[in-house]
Amino acid sequence: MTVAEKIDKPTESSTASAGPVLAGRFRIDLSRRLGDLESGANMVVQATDVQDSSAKYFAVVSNPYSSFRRAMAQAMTESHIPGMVDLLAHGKVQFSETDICYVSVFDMLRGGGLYREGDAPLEENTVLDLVLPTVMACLQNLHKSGLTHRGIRAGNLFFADDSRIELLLGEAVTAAPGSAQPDVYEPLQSAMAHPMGRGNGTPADDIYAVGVLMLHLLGGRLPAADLSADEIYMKKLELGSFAALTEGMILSTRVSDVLAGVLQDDPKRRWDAETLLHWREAIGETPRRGRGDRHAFGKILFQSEEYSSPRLLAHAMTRKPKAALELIENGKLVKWVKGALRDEDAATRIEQIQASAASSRSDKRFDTAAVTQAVRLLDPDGVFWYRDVAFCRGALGPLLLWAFQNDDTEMKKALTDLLESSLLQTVSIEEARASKDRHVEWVPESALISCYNYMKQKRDVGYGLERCLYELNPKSPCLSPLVLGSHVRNVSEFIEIAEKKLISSNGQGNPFDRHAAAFITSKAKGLDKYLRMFAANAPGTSVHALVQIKLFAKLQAVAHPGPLPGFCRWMEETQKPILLKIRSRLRREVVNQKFQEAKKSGNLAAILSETDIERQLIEDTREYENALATAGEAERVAAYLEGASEQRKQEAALYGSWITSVLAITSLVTSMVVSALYFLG
Amino acid sequence: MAKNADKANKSAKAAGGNVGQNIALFWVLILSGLGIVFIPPTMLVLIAGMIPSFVALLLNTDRSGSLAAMLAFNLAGVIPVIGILWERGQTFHEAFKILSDVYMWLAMLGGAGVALFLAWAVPVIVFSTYELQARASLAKLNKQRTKLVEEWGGQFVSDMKEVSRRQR
Repeated sequence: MTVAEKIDKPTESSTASAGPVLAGRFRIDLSRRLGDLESGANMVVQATDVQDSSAKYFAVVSNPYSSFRRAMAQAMTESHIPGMVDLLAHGKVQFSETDICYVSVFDMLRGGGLYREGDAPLEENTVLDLVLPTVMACLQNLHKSGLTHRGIRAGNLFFADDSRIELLLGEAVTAAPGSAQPDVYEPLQSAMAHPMGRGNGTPADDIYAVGVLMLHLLGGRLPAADLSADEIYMKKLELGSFAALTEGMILSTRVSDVLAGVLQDDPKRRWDAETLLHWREAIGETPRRGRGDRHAFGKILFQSEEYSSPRLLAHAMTRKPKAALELIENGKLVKWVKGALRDEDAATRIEQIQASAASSRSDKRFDTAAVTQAVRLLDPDGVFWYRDVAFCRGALGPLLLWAFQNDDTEMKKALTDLLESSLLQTVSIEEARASKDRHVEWVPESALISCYNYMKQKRDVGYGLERCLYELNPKSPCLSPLVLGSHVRNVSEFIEIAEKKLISSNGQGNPFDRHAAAFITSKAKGLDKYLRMFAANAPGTSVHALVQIKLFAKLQAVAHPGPLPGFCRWMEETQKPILLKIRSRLRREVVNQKFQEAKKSGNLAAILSETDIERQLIEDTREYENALATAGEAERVAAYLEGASEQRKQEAALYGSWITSVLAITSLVTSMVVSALYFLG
Repeated sequence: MAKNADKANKSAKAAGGNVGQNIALFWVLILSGLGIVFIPPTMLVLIAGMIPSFVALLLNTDRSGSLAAMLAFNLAGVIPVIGILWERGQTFHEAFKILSDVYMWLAMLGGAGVALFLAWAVPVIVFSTYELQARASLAKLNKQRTKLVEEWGGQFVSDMKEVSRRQR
């Protein structure tokens, strides 16, 4: 069982032998799983120090599909971040020859969690004097470095020591930012995003999470625990986050004031880390409580409900896209935006969308794009919505990873549609023009253009959604079934691991499935001509197989010059249909003999050059045609010979009488001469 | 058009042949007439010895080659007998004496017999030789085909059939 498989297994203790070592120091003990520290798809196990047996650590063994926040990990390893668990080392750990995982080792949180669901509420003083300073010390440091934590929640606070004095914020490095956060912890800007699509966010998002954390700890239960994500979002929009989340709670004035500052729905008005750290001074000027979304001067009827809030309307439109399209097309939305919302720019844009929608009624994708654009205009700060997916601007990569991890067909389909339309590019350009901050938030435009181009050839190997996955997640390991669980990050590693797998399976396996192809072509340059050949020849054909072999021969020369017996065995299997194309038994035997000889070198290029299979195929075809012509001629002659008996008879008669005549004349002359000589002489 | 031309050629050839035959017959009759007048015993032996050729001529088998061979062989057998007649003095007495000799008849008719035998046997031998040659060629072609099938496999047979079908 590989480590990747174990990650999916429930916690169980076993007595395995000592595990491998990370960075020459941290021994990873897979037999000691720490279920309490687990969140998401990663596995948490105990780690020990080979230099100090008393030291204890925990190690997060990353799932191959998990996003690893490298910038944050780098900041954490470069310097100690106060108030946050220390990341001591991270890197690849080899559990067996092909079982390799990315592991991050942290200081052990010996005192356990600060709060568990169902525990009694914490004292106000504990929250304000212990929790808040700890969290703020961490955030102040991170925010100064331009980083966000995105994992501030009640379940992610731990005591570092057995005596439960030193409080620390848990790690948020080994999973996609915000992915483990309960919905209520997310501000309006990312609340409706898919958990994997919440993105790095802004420092203001962390501050908001601190506000919800305070409410969670003080209330002793997850705020709005009985509401769905949709209901929480709508309530926050209607009442403002502060009012929505504190409803029914008895809070002191100072806590209310702090919460009013940190739960402001407008990120610009929300307190920053510095203000929150010095909350006592800040509450001198009583902070204004948020009142939810702005209200228009009039209401609009949509699906039997009246809306005056554009964001609520936008949200409702995402739930009923067909009705939303009607609202756009019948012009009521434009009227409302112009008259009630008094947003001329948005009205003009919606008018353009309305005109375009009317001109292309039959295109379903265009209809969805029209609703997306309208929703974005009504809620420019909200998540990007498209059909079944909603994500924050920069979080398309982790979302794609999730879709592949769960093999979510619907999501993949929606993302395919989105990436092959130019909608993302259009929106990103528009938003980048409008705001520089937005430009930073978005996935780089070059990546979007590349993805758009890859999706044009989505059916071809080396392109499509898989290629976009590696384009948008450049640090993601290869997710090909052949090397999954071996944390392959580049072509050289791919060849190395695939070689081992192919040796163990005696050449059975496909080192060029869609994932492998996308991964290889995204990491290695100059493979376009091979991709063109793949596109021109259907999988399973001999040309396709030959191009595969050529591609790996090139990769071997460039990335892994050593012998590859496993790939040679695979080549032997792959080459079978090509050899079957050679019709001459003798030639086939010769080529096979040459292959067996060249195979010993373990060099694919040498085998290709030795067997010269392409020339052999051409020669074979030519010779086959010649043989066919020869056989045809022979057939014709045989048929003639078989059917010409009568003709032969006639010819024999003619020739026979000629011979008889010659003999007769000869005997006559002879008779005359002999008689003359005898009787006259 | 081509058929008409062939017919015309054949009739032209037949006309040419008839003219030749007529000239030959003319000279044969002239010479026979002169022979009967000047050398009657010789003519007697000659006419008696050439009976098989006259029979062949009368049967008109449309095999001019055989007839010519018959005439030549028959004549070749008669000439020595005439030589003997002339040696003995060319008289009717000697002519009848010769005609009563069975060996003389054997010599004269033997030539015609050889002609008949050769006219029957030589075409048969030639045909047999042709047949043997054809069978050898067919065996060689079959061997070549087997070799090709062995070299190029089962697909070759069907492809070959396809090619033959197209050629037809």
